[in-house]
Amino acid sequence: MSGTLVVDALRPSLSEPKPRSSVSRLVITVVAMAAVGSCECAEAGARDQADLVGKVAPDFALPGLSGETVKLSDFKGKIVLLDFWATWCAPCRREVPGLNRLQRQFAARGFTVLGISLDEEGASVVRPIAQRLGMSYPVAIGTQQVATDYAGIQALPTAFLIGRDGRILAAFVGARDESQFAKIVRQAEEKDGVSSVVPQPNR
Amino acid sequence: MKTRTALLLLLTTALFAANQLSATAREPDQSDQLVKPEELAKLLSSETTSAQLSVLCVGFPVLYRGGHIVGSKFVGPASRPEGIQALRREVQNLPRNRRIVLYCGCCPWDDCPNIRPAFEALHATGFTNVALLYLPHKFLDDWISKGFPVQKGDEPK
Repeated sequence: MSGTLVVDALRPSLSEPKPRSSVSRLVITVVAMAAVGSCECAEAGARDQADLVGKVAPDFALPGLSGETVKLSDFKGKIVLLDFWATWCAPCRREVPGLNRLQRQFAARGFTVLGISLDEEGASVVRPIAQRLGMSYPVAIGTQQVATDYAGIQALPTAFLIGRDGRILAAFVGARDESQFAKIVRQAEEKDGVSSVVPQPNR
Repeated sequence: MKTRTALLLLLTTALFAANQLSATAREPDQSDQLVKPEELAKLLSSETTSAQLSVLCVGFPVLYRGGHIVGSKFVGPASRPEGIQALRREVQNLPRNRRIVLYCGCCPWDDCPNIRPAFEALHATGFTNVALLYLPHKFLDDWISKGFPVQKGDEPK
């Protein structure tokens, strides 16, 4: 959990980076509306994930675990939690049960988790692990180009919350728990005026 | 019967002791086998000390491209046989007393699948001056975020 960077465009006010906890987690908050609308396209050469918040999420067409093509643009209109992970990444694997629960809680309301595996060996390595972990959401096999488009992935897991309009609302670098995600998904729903009802817990 | 029991006990004790010794030899928990980021950065900042040292990345290529230590060389994930082979190739012409610092930082220290196999492989090959860069959380937190020199993007060779 240490070192988690959360950058989000859903918070209402601008504040300086501040320690998130005693283990030096950082929360950097940026003004949502200042970032939204500043660029119609994902910025090439973004220095880090924070630079992408407010921009249109870079589209991609990647092979899914069954050979199908998975495009980000296919999910337009949904809130997407784009989760970069790898089978060798223990914190990524530990997050999967929580991501499954998120998927279960929010999928019916126009939300999906979309996993992007950065395993270089491809689907033959990822598929059995995804099955073993019971991943209940779509998973695609990422490329270096996608990692570069998302500001050069420097740590796993790294996740982006993408709004219904295709813009990146928040970036999460490092492991975090599902309650953090659930909170920001609800905020995204409220922003879109879709639902502000807190879902019943499934557990 | 007594003799057999005694022999069995002796054998069990010997096996346990051998296992402990072996674990001690391999596990990089000695202070001279761990290098802190600030210590490595200091060594790399001097031409004299950096020339006496090889810094090898035994992590995953996607993270190496995302950012790596300036002056380090990519070897590849030592959790895989091909990574160990690449490591052996990389060091084959180096003197056995060469100072080598291995690093990964893909995951929290205890979860890293690469550093221990790399460390063991170099010890098994006869290298006597091997250390691990101690990255308790991950490379991003313990090196990049602390402002130590990083290079992004060049292709692992």
